[in-house]
Amino acid sequence: MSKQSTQQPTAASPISPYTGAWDLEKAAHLLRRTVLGPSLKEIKTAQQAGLSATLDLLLKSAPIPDPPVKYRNDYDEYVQLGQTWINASYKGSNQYRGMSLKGWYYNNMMRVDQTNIQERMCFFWLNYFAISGPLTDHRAMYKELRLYQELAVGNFRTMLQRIAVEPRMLFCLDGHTNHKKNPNENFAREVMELFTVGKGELAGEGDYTTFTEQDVAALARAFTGWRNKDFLYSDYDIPVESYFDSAAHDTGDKQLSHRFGNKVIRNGGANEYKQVIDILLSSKAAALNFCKRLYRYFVYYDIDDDVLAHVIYPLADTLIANNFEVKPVLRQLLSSQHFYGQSIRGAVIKNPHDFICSMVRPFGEFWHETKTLNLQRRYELGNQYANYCTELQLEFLEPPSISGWKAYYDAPQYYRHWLSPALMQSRDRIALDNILDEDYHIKGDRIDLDYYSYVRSLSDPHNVDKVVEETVLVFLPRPITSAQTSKLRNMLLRGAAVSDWNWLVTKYIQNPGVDTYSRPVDDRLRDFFKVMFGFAEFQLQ
Amino acid sequence: MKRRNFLQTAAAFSIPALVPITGVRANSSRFTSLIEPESDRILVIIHLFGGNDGLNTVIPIDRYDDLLNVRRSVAIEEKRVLKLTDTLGLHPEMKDMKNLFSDGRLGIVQSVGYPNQNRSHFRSTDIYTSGSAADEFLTSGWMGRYLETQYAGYPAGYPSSAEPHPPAVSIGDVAHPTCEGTKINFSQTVLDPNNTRTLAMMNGMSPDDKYGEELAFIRTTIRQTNSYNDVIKDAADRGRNAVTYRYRDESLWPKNSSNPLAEQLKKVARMISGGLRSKVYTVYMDGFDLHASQVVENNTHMGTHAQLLSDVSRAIGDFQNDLKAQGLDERVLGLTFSEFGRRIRPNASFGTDHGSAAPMFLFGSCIQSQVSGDNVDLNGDISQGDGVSMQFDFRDVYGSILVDWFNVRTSQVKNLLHDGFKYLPLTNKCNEDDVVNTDDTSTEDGWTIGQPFQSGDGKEISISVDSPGSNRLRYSLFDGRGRLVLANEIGVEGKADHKLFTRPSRLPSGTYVLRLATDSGAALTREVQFN
Repeated sequence: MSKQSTQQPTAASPISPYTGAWDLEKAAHLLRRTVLGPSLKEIKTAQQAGLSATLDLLLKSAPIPDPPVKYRNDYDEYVQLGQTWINASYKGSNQYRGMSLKGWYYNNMMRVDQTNIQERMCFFWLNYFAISGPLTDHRAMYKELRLYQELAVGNFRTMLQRIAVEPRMLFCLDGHTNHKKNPNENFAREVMELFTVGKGELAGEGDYTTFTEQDVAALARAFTGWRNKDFLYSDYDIPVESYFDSAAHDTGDKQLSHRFGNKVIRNGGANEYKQVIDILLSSKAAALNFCKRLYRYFVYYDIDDDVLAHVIYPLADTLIANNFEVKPVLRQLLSSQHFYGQSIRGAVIKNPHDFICSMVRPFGEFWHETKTLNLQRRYELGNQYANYCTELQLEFLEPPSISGWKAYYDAPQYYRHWLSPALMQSRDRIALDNILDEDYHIKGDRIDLDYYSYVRSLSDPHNVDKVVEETVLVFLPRPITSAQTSKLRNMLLRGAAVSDWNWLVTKYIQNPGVDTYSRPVDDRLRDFFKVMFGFAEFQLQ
Repeated sequence: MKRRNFLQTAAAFSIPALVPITGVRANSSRFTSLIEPESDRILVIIHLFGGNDGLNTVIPIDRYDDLLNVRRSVAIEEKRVLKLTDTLGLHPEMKDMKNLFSDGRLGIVQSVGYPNQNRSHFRSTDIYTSGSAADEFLTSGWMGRYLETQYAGYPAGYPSSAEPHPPAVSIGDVAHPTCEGTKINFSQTVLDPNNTRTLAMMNGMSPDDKYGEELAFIRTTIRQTNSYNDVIKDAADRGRNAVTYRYRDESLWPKNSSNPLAEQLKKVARMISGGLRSKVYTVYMDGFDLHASQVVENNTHMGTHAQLLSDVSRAIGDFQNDLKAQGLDERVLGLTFSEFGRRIRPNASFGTDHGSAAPMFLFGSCIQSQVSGDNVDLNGDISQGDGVSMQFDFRDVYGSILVDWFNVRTSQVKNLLHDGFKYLPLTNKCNEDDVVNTDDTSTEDGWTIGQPFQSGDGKEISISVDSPGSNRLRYSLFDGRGRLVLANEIGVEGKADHKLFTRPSRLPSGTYVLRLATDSGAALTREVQFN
C-alpha cells in the first residue's frame, strides 16, 4: 500500500521535496520520464522501494555498455566477427559499421537488465550538443556516444571540457581550422549561445546581455590550435584523436567584455580552453540555461515566470553549489513537488524513441525470440528501431541543426513538432501494422511480442478487469474513461463472459507455446493493444 | 454564398475572359481582379534546400569573361549555356525550363535575398520561411500569417461544410514552416494522397490542464487527419495526370530512377485536378549544399549540380505541361526558393560555399515579368568570401504574389511581411477587372487620379494625376473580352495632366477598361470609350 501523507497541502515551494502519496501512478510517472518504456515489474518495484530508493537506482552511475561489434560476415581485414571495430583501422571495407553503431545504440536503449537514466541522459547530451556531419568515420561517432554514456549523470564542467576538443565537435563547428592567423568564431559563438550562457536580449550593438561580439572574437582566439589527427578516409591506421598544435595557438591576451567582468584570458596553451569554460560557468546564466534545457527535456516545454523563479533558479543554485555535478540537480528536480504536480503528468508528447520503446520494452523487448537472438539478428532488430525513428523524424546521428531537435527549443510548437498528420499516420502504421501485427519481420523471421510473459507478470491475469487496469497503468499516462475501459475490455472478452477469460488464461498459462491455447489469448491481446496504441493518450507520457 | 458559387463555376472555364458581372466586387480599394480571395487560385512552393548556386543556374552570358575570371573552375562553358535572351541563359540541363521560358510560362527574379544575409542553412531557412528580417525572430510562417486572415480561428471549427479542404498541403512528413500559424501549422502533411490511413478516434478525458491541452492537440490532429484525408483521397482518386512524369535523365542518373521532385509535383497536380482547393502546396528537395564536386573537373556541365538541376527542370516542365493539358495552368502559380545562393568564387574542391542572393523562379501561365532585375555584376574586386549582392528583397517577391495572386491589399502585405514592402509586377498577367468602378479618386498610397479625357485630335487619352513625389504610373488597357491590348508606364511627379497613349488604329470602337497601378501596387480602374 502506498503511504498516504496526512499533511494538508501547503504553499511549499514547488522545488521542495514531494511529500504526497507515493503510489503506482507516481512511480510510473517517474519511470516514464527517466527510463524508456518501463515495465509493470519496474513500476511495482519502484512503488514498493519508495521515491528515494528509486532515485538511487535511476541515478546510479551505470557501467558503460560494451562497444558495438562486427555482427555480420562482411569483409573487413581488421576485425573478426564478434569483435569490436571501435579502434580498428578505418581503411578497407567496413560498410557494416554504421549499421552496427545504430543497432547497438537502440539495443542499449531497449535493454531490460537495468533500471537507469543512462540512455535518457545520453540522448539529452546528444541533443544538447547536437553535433551533425560529417557522417564518415563511425569510430568518431562511437567516441562521442561513449562520452555521453560515461558522463550521463556526470559533471557538466567535465562534459564541456571534453566536448570542446572532441574530434567531431572540432569538425562540426570548424574548431579544427581555427588558427591564430584566421580565427574561426563558429565554436566560440555556439559554446556561449547554446552550450553555456545562452543568448539574452539585445542590449546594444553586438551585446546580447549574456555575452557580446567582443567575447565571441576573444573566445575564438582562445580556442585556436586544436587539430584533428587525419583519421578520415585515412589509408593508415590513425586513431580518432585531437591534439594541440601550439604553433596555431594565439598566445596573446584576450580581453573579454563587461559581461564577463572585463576579465582577460592569458595564454594557457593546451589548457586555455579549460580556463575559458571556467569563466563561462562563472556566469549564473550558464547554470540557468543548462537547467532550462534539462527542464524542457524532463518536465514540460513551457517555462513561465513562476517556473523560472521557483524551479529553474533553485536548480541552478544546486548545480553551482555542487560544482556542476548533474546528479544532485536531477535528484532535486525528480523528487520535487513540481515534478509530481497533476498538470504536467502525461503532458509530454513522446519523441520517437519513447514511442517505440514504450511499445516494446514493457514486453521485455524480444528476448524470448530465441531464433532472432543470434548476433546478427540482434543488431538487425536494433536497426529496425533506428529505421522507425528515422521515419518518425529522429535520426539520432544527424540532428537537424546545432540547436538540436525543434521539439526541445522551437516555440510555440515544441513537442508538437513530433506530430503531423503524416507522422500520426506513420506512427499508427508502425504500431499497428509493424510492431503488433503478425507481419513484423526481421529479415524474413516473423517475430511477435512476448504476450505470455506479459500475462504472467500481471497481478491477477485471470481477472479481465485487473488486466485492463494494470495494462493502462503501464502504457497510458493517466486513468481513462469508463467508455475507453469497456472498449478495451471487450477486445479481450469478444462478447464472452468473464469466466471464459478466466478459463482461457488458465489454459494459456498452463500450456505455453501450445497453439490451441496460446492463439486465442495472443490474438485477443494483439487486438487489445491495437486499440490501446491507437488512443490519443498513448502519444503522451 | 453566391460569390463562391460563381467563382467555382468560373473556375471550370478558363479565367481570363472578362465575364460581365455586376455587384461582385471585393471590398478593396485597389484594383480588384476577377479572382477573389475565396477563389481557387493555388500557389506551389518548391523549397530547394542547401543553398542553390544561382550563378551556375541562371547565367549572365553578357558577362561571360568576368564569370570565367572569378569562377573558372566551376563555370559552365559558354557554348553549352541554354540561351534565353541575348544576355541571359540557363544551365545546360534545364531544357524544360528553357521551353517554359520561350512559352512565356517562366519568370526569373534575379538576385533575391535580404539585407545582412545569414549564411547558416537553418537560420536562413527560418528567415525565408517566416518572412522575417535577418535580425528578427518570428515563429510563424509568412503564408501561415496570410492563411490566418482567411481561416479565422483555425483549427477550431475546421474542416467545416463551408471550408472542407485543408488550407495548405505539405508533401512529406513535416508541415512546412512557411505555413506555420501563430497557433498551429495550416498544412496537412501528405505522403501519398491515394493511400491515406484512417486513425482511430475515441473520446477520453479532457482535463483542464497541460495534459488536457496536449491531448486536445492530438485529438484535433487525428480528427483533421481523417477529415482532410477523406477530401484529399477523394480528390486524388478523381484527379488525373495528363502527362507521364518522366524518370530522371538516363544520361545523368541510373536508368529508370524516379525523379523525387517530379513524384511530389505529380501528386500535387493530381490533387488539384481532382478539385482539392487548398491554397498552398509545398514540396521539398534537398542536396544543393555542394561544397565539393558540384561540377566535374574540366567538365563543368556535369556533376551533382547538373543532376539536381535536371531533376528540377524536368519536374517543373512535366508539372506545367500536365496543368496546361488539363486547363489548370492559369490557376496555379509556382515559386522556387533556396535559403541562400553560393559564393561567387568557387572553393578548391570544385564546389562553392554558402553565399548570399540567388535567383528565384516563378512559373505558370500568369507570369507577367519574365526577367526581373539586372545580371549579376561580376566586375571589380570580388573577394573569396563574397556572395551575390541582392537586388530584390525576397519579402517583396512574396508580398507581390500575395497582392497579385491572393488579392491582398498592400497595406496588409506590409503587416504580414515588412513595412518597406515594394510591389513588383511579377505575376499579374491574368488579373482583370471584374467590374468597372470609376468612382474612386484616391488610392491607399496617397495618389489622386482623375477621369481620362481625350486630347489632341481626340485620339490621345490623357489623365490628371497627383502623386506623392516622383513616381511611375503603370497602365493597362483591356478590351470588352478582358484581353490586354495595351500596357506601358509613364513617369509622374506632383500634380499634372499626362498623356497616356494614342489610340492604336487596330483597336475598334467600344468600351475599354483602363487599369492604373502605382508603383507600390495600389490601383484604380477607369473606363475609356473609343468612338
